[in-house]
Amino acid sequence: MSVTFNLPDLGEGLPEAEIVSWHVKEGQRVEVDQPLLSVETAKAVVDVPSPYSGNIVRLHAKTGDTVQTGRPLVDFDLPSQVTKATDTSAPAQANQGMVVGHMATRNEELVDHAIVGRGRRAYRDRDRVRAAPAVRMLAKRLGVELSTCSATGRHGLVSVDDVLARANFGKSQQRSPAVPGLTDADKLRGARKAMAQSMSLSRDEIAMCTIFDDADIDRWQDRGDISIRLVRAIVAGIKAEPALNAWFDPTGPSRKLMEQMHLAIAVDTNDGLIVPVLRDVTSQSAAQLRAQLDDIKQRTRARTIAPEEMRDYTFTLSNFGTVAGRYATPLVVPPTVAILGAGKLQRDVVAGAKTPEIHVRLPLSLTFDHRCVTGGEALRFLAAVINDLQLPN
Amino acid sequence: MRTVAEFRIEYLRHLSPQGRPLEELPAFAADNDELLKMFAAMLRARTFDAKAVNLQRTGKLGTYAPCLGQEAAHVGVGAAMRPEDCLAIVYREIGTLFWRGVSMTEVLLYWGGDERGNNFAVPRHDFPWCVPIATQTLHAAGAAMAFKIRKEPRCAVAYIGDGGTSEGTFYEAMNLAGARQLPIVFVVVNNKWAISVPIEEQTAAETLAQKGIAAGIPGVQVDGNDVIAVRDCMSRALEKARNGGGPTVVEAISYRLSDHTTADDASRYRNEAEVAEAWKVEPMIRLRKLLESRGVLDEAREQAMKAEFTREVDAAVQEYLSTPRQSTDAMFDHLYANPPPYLEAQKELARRYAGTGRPSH
Repeated sequence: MSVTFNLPDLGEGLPEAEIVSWHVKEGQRVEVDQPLLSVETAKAVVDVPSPYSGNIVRLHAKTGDTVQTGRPLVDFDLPSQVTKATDTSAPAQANQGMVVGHMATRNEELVDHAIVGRGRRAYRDRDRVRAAPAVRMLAKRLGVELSTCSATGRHGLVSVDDVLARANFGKSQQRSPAVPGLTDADKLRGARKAMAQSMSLSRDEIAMCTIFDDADIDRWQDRGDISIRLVRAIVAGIKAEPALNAWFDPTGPSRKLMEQMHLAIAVDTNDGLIVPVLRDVTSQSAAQLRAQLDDIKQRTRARTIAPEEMRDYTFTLSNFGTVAGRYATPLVVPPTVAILGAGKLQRDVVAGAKTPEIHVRLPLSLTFDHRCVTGGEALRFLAAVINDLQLPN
Repeated sequence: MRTVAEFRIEYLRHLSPQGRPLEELPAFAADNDELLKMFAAMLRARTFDAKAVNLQRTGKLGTYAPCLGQEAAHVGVGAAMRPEDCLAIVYREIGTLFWRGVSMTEVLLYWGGDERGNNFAVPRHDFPWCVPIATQTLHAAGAAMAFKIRKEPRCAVAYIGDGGTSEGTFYEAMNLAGARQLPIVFVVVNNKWAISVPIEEQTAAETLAQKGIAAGIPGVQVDGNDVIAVRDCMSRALEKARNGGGPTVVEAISYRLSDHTTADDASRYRNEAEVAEAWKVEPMIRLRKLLESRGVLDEAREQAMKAEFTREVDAAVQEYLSTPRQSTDAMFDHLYANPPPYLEAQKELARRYAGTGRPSH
């Protein structure tokens, strides 16, 4: 019968131990209480005795390795009548090998290595999650990784409630369907599933703020290529305010201003929202941009676009107004920090010098992540975008 | 100026570390069966002690405080007490517990975190384990006061360690015992180390026995590795207390050959030479030699005893490991007849967090 002996907690809530030396080899027969190995914990160097009489099949770690409490240490092959709960019976001769308090023969002293201990080495405290032993036990029992819990306790400790919150969060991820009668066939796949996930992430993470305004494009000399003008205007906006072309990491929290601008373009397809990326838009001419845009749109609709062409963007444009809708509150997808939405062109009555006039205007909706971008930065960006859009050509 | 008070502390030892009688032995020591019984009790405690450490090292027992090296002090006290006397232990005195009838399984249950290990089937009137240092001395003083009020010929015995004698509680207990002339014996087991604090740093007093003097209690020092001396000394102190002669402080000088607990590593603060010296005077050697010189013990007999105790320990370990777990309620159920609301709330909290892995909300 094969049994695995896991590293026990050798102190009071110790998370791990370092292996100092092995006293046994694979294939060796050992008796119960015979020393297996010496380990060093935060508190002590101790000998760990064998919990079983049997053959050693496998040693799971080498000298110098650090083993987490509860992880496998030794695999044993035990005589079949011995079971885990009743392994402690040992014939008298087994005690010749006992670590502690073995029978002194005649007048020699009882030397006891396990208790007296040996060696002294500084404990290296590693980066690890801080939590009380009971909380660790609870997390273990619930199958919750402590490092994924927020730590709201005193001195940055993970509390019982943090673990429970995480456990319940995990459960809600896997809960049974809220809508009865759904089958596997009803499950979202591909682009639609990706949208569900990225929009949930956006909702959970982003401190979103949206600004609405209009660009008066009545002075455009020809009909114009609205998409390309929008790309050009966004480039102008980023030149004026680089803070919107950035990635944000809330765990730092830290922010990286991006040197290049890779612009994601939201494309509506029958299979769902797909967002291919125009690469390095600042260094391309209008004609080049138009060619690239036509290419990725065509390949997106044909579903031949590669996944890597939809990654690593730094800003998003949603030109939703080709269908309907004036303003919107588009969602920013982490780690980017802003998205610009362009609505349907409007023929608006505006105040002229003396009289009302009718101008063509492009409605704009700018959403930014207010954890990372200030209102001033967003407004300066939007002003630059509008200025560029309002140029005659 | 003239001297208004003086004190003297006597030191008792009957056997040299090599087992040679130093003077006429007390009467009980003429009875070889009785001495063999005490030797067996020390061996039994040591056998159990070793297994308990190994159980902790293999994850089957919580933190454990070994008694290695102090078996004579513990067995000597146990042998001197009467069954009806009341014992207040600290957490290391299994030699006394076993002598008084506490089972190995109960000791394992306690260190395994099971409240049933506090509820000794025998003797019912002894106090449970007491980790808060020195508090047990007041419990014992209270029991002694009850014996005195009821005019029962019974004594209380309170253990305390060398470190514990620095606690205020110990002085309060001695003061009460002295002022009321209570039938109690305070047994200070001076094993030289209070975890990592050596006795030299613990106190400026030459002896711990003299700590009773200020409370009007006589003190005596005894070689705690000499089980005959410990039993003799305790018998006299108990006899005096039982006859209305008041309390005594007995300081039994021994040595903690083990770590403080399984969560300690004494090699970090204690030098090996000191430990090696202590092994030369450990308590099993001298009694073994005396019994061998009398022709009542030899290696075969000792090995047979050892084998029997090993089987007994293994059976107790099996019983312990197969004992069904208690619910967390057990932590709260024995503190108050009518628990205060905050404890009821904690009990509820424990149910939520320590249950089957499914929090109730």
